[in-house]
Amino acid sequence: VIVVQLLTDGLALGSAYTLMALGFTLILIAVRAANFAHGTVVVAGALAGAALAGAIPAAPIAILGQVVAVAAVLGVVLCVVSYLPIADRPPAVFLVSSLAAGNFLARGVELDFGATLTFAQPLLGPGAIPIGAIALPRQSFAIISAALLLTVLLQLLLRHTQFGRRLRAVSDDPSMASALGIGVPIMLAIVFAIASALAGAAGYMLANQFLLTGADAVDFLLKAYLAAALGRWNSLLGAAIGAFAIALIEVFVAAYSSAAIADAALYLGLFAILLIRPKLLFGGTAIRGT
Amino acid sequence: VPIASERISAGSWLATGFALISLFVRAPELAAQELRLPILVPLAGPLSPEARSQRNGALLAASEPTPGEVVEVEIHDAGLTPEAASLAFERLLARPGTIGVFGPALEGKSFALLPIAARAEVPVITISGAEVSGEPGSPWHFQFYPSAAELKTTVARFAVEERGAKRPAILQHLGDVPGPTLSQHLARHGTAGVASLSVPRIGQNLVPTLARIKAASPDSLLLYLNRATAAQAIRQARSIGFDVPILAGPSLAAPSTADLLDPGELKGVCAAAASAPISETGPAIESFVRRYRAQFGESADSLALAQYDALRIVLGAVAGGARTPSALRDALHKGEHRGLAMTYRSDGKGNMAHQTVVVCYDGIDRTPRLAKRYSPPSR
Repeated sequence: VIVVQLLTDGLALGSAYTLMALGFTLILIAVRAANFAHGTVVVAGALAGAALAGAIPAAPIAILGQVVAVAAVLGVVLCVVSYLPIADRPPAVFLVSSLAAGNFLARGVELDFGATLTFAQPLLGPGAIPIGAIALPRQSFAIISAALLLTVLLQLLLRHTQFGRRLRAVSDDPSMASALGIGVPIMLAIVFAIASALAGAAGYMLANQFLLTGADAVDFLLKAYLAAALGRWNSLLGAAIGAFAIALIEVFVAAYSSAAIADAALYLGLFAILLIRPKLLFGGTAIRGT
Repeated sequence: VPIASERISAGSWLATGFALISLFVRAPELAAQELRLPILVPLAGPLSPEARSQRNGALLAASEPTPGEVVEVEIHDAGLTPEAASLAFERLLARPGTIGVFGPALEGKSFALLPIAARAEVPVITISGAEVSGEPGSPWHFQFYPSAAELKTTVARFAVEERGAKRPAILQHLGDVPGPTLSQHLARHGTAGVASLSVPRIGQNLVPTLARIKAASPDSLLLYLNRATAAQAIRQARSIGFDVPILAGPSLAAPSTADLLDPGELKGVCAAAASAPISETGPAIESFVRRYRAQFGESADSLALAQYDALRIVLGAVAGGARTPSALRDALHKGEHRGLAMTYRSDGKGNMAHQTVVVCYDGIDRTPRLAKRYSPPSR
């Protein structure tokens, strides 16, 4: 019974982590460097959802749509502010500028929201669905379904549209793509928008079960980073599998050992990656397509 | 040698003369010097809900007229770590006219301030309720909220005596303060917990821990967590169908915590606190609740009332002539101090508050009912 309960929780958490990891990997593929503001965008999605729900009475699913839009705009802003001005510099410069932008945003969030903590409304109603001796949270099903839908939409966009082909061209050789008439800055701004929209959606959906603050941004960034690393940095499918692996390890280790040990395991994983393949921090390996 | 001696002697006289002149010149300035009582609270982060109550209670107390001295009451950010709180505290101590500092509620931040306050010989006044035990007592520390030990006693006693708990489970923060744990308090009342688990202070997924507790089939759950974690624990417990009665510490007696949850999720939840302003009756407390709501647009909780009481008592002591840190310390140690929540008195170890109450939610609304009062809470 407890295994089924934990599995459901792990799958829901893994679905949210998948959205974060897909966004993180998408930017990594496009600009060949890690976007360290990504965790802050997750938290911003949660807080934007709370602010929108307070300002505009609407169904939670409509709020989710608004959060996706707000996060997408935030992504464009991050691209314009923290990436485009240093696009021709080494990848490490973007690492620092995105870290700075993320911190700036996190402090702004703290100033705006301060002591205000709030849960988001559940997408499919509150409570649990009882199945025999176990009770499966409705929100878990909502997160799994919404994440699946968004992932499928992303795959369709990348694999079966002109945009997807152009993005791959930009990632493979930005100069050649530009010479062929592809508007590289606009393509990159769209990538940042999509990545941030996915992160914001994840934050909003998690906010029904978690009280998120700016302090959680680092935690989300770490998980997205690890998932991308497990996906060998250049595979969206690999990042998704990595995200589920992280969530399931986190849930089962916390249940059978402790939450602190689950945390420690995550940091040990990061340490191992830095020890074995440190160059990957800056997208040092070849990144090819999706 | 005699010449040198005369020169030194003349120099000393000269210096003494200048010192006396400067004293006369500065005397009126000193007399008019503003006294300061800074309030150091974290303005953001996981403990900011508790800090907001503390800040609001202080602002309300400061807005009311006090006879005698003008005292500057200012709110300062304690930051997110004990180190940040210590630095901010030292900055405040360096400012002239500081006769005492109200420290942040909860966590290790208060602990970090105590040795600094003792070295500087300035009273540090805390509104805690979760962590600071005041042992061993510092003569410079005053805690206007029942200690963690007293509140945990209340939680365990109420669970066993009033709710007949026979198989309770415990969920608390990792690395709780030294002193008896909830398990030990339960044991004193002849009951052993079926599970006792800890969670980190940061917002983390609690479902794995709650699922493990649920699998042990407890008849009740005892929580001792900060507000954000407690609200998340209840939300996640109810989401997996874990509907046992919950007995909790002060975090769940706070209206701001109850507001985060649906009334149905609060069904069967009771909480121990120093007081329950919105559940109490009486003209003075009802007036406080009205004024608080009018000023801040939200309901007062026990931390806000404790901070209000503490600041009114300290301002009263200053008005009574306690214009220096040591005079304030002596005034707080002496006798009894009447507040709205209770009558406070020092036990010499820093503990000023010796009353606890238990409130319970009925699942219909978010206003808890007073279920039991312990004065003083028995060990």
